[in-house]
Amino acid sequence: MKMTKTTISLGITLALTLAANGAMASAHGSKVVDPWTTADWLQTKRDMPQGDVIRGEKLANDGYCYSCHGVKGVNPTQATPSLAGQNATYTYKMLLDYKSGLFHIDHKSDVMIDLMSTYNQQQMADLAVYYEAQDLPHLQYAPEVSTATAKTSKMVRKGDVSRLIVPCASCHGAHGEGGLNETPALAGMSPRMFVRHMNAYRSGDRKNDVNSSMGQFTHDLTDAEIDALADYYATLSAK
Amino acid sequence: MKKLLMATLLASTFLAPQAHASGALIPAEQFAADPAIPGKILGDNCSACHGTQGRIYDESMPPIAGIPRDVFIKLMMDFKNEVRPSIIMNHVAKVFSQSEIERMADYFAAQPDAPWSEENVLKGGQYE
Amino acid sequence: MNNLSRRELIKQFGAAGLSTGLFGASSQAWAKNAPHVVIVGGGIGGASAAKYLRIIDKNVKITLIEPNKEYIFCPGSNEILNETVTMEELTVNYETLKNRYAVNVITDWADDIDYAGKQVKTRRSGSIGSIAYDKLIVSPGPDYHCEAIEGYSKALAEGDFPHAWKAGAQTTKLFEQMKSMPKGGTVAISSPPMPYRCPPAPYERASFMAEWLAHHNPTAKILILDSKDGFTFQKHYLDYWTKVRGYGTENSMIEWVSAKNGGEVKQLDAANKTLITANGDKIKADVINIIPNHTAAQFAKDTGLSQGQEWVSIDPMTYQSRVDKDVYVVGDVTESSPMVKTGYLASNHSKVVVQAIVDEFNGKAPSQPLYTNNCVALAGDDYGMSITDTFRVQNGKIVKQYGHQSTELDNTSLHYVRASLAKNWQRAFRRDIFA
Repeated sequence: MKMTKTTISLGITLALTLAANGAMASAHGSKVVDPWTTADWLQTKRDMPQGDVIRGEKLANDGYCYSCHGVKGVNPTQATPSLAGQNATYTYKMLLDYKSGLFHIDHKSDVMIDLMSTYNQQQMADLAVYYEAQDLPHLQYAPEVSTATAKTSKMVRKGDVSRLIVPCASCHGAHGEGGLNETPALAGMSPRMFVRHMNAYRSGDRKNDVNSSMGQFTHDLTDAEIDALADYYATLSAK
Repeated sequence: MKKLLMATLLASTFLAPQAHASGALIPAEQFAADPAIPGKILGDNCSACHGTQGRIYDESMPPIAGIPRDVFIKLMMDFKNEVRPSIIMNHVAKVFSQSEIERMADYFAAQPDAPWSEENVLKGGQYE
Repeated sequence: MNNLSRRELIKQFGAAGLSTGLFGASSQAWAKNAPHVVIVGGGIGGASAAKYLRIIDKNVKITLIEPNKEYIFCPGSNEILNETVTMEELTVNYETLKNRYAVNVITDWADDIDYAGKQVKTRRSGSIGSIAYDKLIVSPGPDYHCEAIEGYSKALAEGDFPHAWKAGAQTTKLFEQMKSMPKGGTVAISSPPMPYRCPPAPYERASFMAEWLAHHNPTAKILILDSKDGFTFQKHYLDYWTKVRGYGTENSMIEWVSAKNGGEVKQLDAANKTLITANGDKIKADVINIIPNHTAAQFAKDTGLSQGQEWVSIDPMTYQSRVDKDVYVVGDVTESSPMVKTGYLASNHSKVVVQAIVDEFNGKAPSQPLYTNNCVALAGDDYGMSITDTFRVQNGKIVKQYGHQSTELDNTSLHYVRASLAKNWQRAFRRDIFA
């Protein structure tokens, strides 16, 4: 969906308001993009091109992805997520959602939206399979010993019926390896990234999940629970 | 395959500059006889990108406060030696000696891993 | 003898401070009355000094003298011209310095220095006030020598010929002038000789104006009339303009006339909105933006800090003035060659200065300094560049250890990533100084 002049000027008006409130202005903040329907996503998934790892490697290097995401997708910092080992369908979908502008949390999303304007679906598929072919980082951001409590492990394995929260593991895997449909691997994830995205789902700033299938589980989670889950997954090994 | 790729990466990122107002690098060793620059003075030169004391969490340039000493040293040496590619850090890191990098590592490792906005600046002083 | 125990003094000054003989008549006054550092100028250099001084010394008294109640960031202000930033985002006030950093901010003009009496004379609405200091940091920025171009003046700059080289009302005025231009109109930019603050900025300005005009007035033209034969990031800009503005073709939106091709502007005929170049060419334009020749701030001249020279001479180890060891001068007003004049460097000068001051309070020798200028620019919202300059001091002289400009590669992803870096830098830098 192209940015129209109206959208641009709306964006500026919004930016003025945000700036007056002290928030950072975002070039893409005002864009209105239709959310995924199940049918649309399933069709898109069926149409996902066959990716090529070698082509993806070249694209990742020519595209300077390493400059933010780390060499081979292992980020030594927590400023952006590591991409190594991530579920290819998830990565592909994320790149599509950046391109359309459906994914936009705040001004930090702008650079990916800008970058994806120059990539097509074949290239996105190539990048996705390249990163999937790398190993998930383990203990990149967390100490050896998990600080997770039994309560957190229970949330992951059994969910919370009283709040209609299904077990995280039911989609993200018993070992956080992801993979069911488009769900991402969470094992080894940067806790800072985990918290950012859970908060964004909870606030509604992130809304690229199909049928609110992730966002719905976050609304009743507390900050402490999100932090605990972040720590849990940061130390988890996918194997 | 990997070596070729890395060589290509290096070639494309590290072309010798011919642009106006560039200056060839004087290696850090040429300044080794001068008094040592304190880690804080070295590190505070980084704040415009990485935040006061390396404690900005809202931008693309990563925070470096609280970074483990050995992680910082490895990253900076890898940037300096062009083992790790970057947009700008290779040229930032090139100017430092190993011991300067170690002093910066000490400085940043000692900073709390929390945003500068949360710091109580007046703590311990007469204006507290 | 003083009221504080030795233990408390050690807590305040460190054991090293005591061992170098702080005890004595001066330390008695010291312990009771904290030393007073006064800062003239609340721009980037002055604000950095205030903040970074407070960070290393919780007990010193700090006073900042600044005539304006707000500061509008000049770095990042070209972005008003392609509407990627608002004046609100660029505008900061001094409340954070006052409340968070316990800086006494005085809204006033500094007029003179009484070196012997260690006082700054201020204007204080009619009567002359004075503020006593133990150490003085002076960061007044440059002034503009409009008259270097015959027919140009400060009055015209504040009227219909804004230079907009200190962000504020003139920046808004320049944008409004560009917006009101007739279809197919011409903007003429006069780019000054070195040294001036922020070397790539005239070209970034032209590039942003072209970006805006491409959307709103696509047949408009921009003419850059240069007093120089080359400029920072020249290849980047020419590459970008070639790719997106038709540079080098008949339809080019931008033209650059170097000094050797007669581009230097000599005269402004304000009544006829015409610039006259060294060649004798007369260029009539709808919008004229003369970026003026720079000179040291009048304050630096009036106080003798510039010693009749073009810029203020300093000791690069500490940025102490040559005139008085208790007076430090930072930023664009100084003679700091081979450094360029940037806010980035001004803030790094200030960090060295405040450390040197506190070291002296504690009886320590000043440390070896480092000054970096790892700065950025943009050609458009989608194309960024960076520079990495490092300066050391050896044998009392500033040495440029390294100077590198980002290489010009034809890679759209790289341009976007660099643009993101440049935009983020603007915000991070603003916060490093004022937050």
